[in-house]
Amino acid sequence: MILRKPILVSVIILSWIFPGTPLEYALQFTTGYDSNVMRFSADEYLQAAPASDVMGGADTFDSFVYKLGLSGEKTLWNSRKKSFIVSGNIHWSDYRHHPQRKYGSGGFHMQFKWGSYKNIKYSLRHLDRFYLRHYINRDISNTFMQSCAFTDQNQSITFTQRVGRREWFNLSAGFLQRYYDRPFTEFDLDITYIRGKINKRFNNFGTVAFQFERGIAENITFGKTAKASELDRSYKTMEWYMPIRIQKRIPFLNEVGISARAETRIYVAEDPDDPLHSGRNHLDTKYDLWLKKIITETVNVTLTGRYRTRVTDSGYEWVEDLKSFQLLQMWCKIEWDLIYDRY
Amino acid sequence: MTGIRTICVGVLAALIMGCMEPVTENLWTLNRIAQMETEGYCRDIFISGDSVFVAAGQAGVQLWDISSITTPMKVWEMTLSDLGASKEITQVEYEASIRQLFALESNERPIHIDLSQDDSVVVAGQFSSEQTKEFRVITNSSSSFTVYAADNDDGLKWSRFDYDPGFGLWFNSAGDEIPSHGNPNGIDIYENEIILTLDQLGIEAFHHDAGNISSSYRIDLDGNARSITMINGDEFYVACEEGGAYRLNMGYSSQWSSEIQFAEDLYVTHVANNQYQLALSCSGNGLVLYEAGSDFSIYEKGIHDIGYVYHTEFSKGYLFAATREGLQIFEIVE
Repeated sequence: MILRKPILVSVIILSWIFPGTPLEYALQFTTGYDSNVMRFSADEYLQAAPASDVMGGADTFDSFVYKLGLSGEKTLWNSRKKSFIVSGNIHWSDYRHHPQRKYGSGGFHMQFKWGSYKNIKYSLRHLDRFYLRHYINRDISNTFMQSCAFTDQNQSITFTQRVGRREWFNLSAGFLQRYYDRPFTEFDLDITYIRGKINKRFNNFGTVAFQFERGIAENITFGKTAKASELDRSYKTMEWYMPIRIQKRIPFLNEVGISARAETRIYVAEDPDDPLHSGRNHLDTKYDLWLKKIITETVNVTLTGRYRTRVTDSGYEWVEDLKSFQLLQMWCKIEWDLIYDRY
Repeated sequence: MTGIRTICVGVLAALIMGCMEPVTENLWTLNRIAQMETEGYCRDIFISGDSVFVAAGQAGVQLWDISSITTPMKVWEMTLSDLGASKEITQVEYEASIRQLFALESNERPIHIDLSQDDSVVVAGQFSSEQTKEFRVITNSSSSFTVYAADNDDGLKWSRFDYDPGFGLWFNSAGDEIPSHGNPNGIDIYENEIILTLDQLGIEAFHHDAGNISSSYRIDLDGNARSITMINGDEFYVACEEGGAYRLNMGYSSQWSSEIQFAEDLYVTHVANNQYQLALSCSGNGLVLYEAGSDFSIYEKGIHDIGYVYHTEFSKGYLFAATREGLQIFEIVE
């Protein structure tokens, strides 16, 4: 599960062998705070405090976070209204008070445009060894806790089309591979999803969008390891997302945004011997607020706050208590946009 | 058009290269070959060729034919009343060369069953003493065998039986009782070495030399030593219930430790081995597999929830598990 180096190398090479257009790139520095890094439920807070194994070496439930990022974009081919653009980004995130959670992430995109809001885009996103928390490795023990981390590889194709003077839509189909590191491969998932989004720009206001997504996650290692793989973690998911960006008629700031996102996940397990997943579903909601200020022509600052809550529904009260949580995150991102145009 | 082609090739290459392969764990999986309903709890098994003798708890003793491994057939059975027992049968052992079967009623005296007569099964009687926890039978000749018993209230007890063709009966010709440091509840024998498990007091080894049995050494272990599996005179595995299991090597080298404790949280009641494969019977925790390394190390290979497991045996490349859910036969896939 390594970042596909050949793809990154290809982007860099392509950037140099297709001169004639500038290379736009940006540096990002983000600091932030996460109130519940390991997504503990209220009951787990009480149990985890005296149990250092559960904490994975951390002393606190919350953490200060910083992220470093680099993104770039280059037009490789241009012909009248048509163009072919490649872009990419890499990030490094470090939770300072949680020694286990340090991870890299990145993305690579190829976009073919044939007009304004008319394009097709291929995206490959990679999240490398994202630490969740320590879990008991049930394959070999009833008590031994080990670090649980996963890697995501998410590929999608998005078709964008203008449908009116100020309206456009996006249709996406994607395949997300969420594979866990040893010893928790029993959680491995192949997730296929489709997504539709309609966007509208309002005069003297900004943009409003509504997105809907359906997905199916298949637990590909169900029954393939030992005891821990006897539970089917497959699920169906449905999510809606509504962002509102206000970009006009706001004092001092350049953009104010709010969004709401709600995911309903329903586990497919119906085994009465699996109370943890059988008949379980949850509603995971995220409310975001962000404020963006362009400081200079090349530097902008964005402040973001997120409140997230997950409410689990199950036939078993202990499962509801175990799998429900809430957290608060805050971020401050400083971005420096640059152009390399010596071609 | 050349540009479009390049783009298409680029997208295709990205799609192919974009997928990743999942990592795998170094665990062994179990492929269930057959599961047989034994009516009572399947407490113990003894495999002899294509025959599997089953200590079927309150259902008595059963004989299963496994010449077809996927569809075993029950050949005969003896109920508790046939055996003259009233509790449950917890152990069974068969001596193929003299065609004698031995069964243990829980905490009672072992029962001797004569299978040498083709047309009938004869209960020859009981021997040793009450509170027998486990026994082993050694065939001395075609007309003689010796039983070694872990007698919970007396120590190590042995009884020699000889066949008298005149009477057509087996007579108890010799025997003795050797006190142990604790109350024995398990026994195993390898050539002249006999080891008893002594519950909270670990294990005690005895040496058999020209009819004289004497205590050699004792080792204290965590938990309650429940059963022992001897690989040879120096190396053995001890199941210690809540203390897990031990791999012990008396002829150890300075290169490695003489004692490895593992499966501490799995309530181990028995260890079976097949070369480097270890199968731990862990009561309600199921069946647990380990790999015994040549460097005296132990590697976890997975817990398998197959029910309440009492005992396992390896035979012909298959793993036979005596469980409350009956007799189960597995293939280990590495």
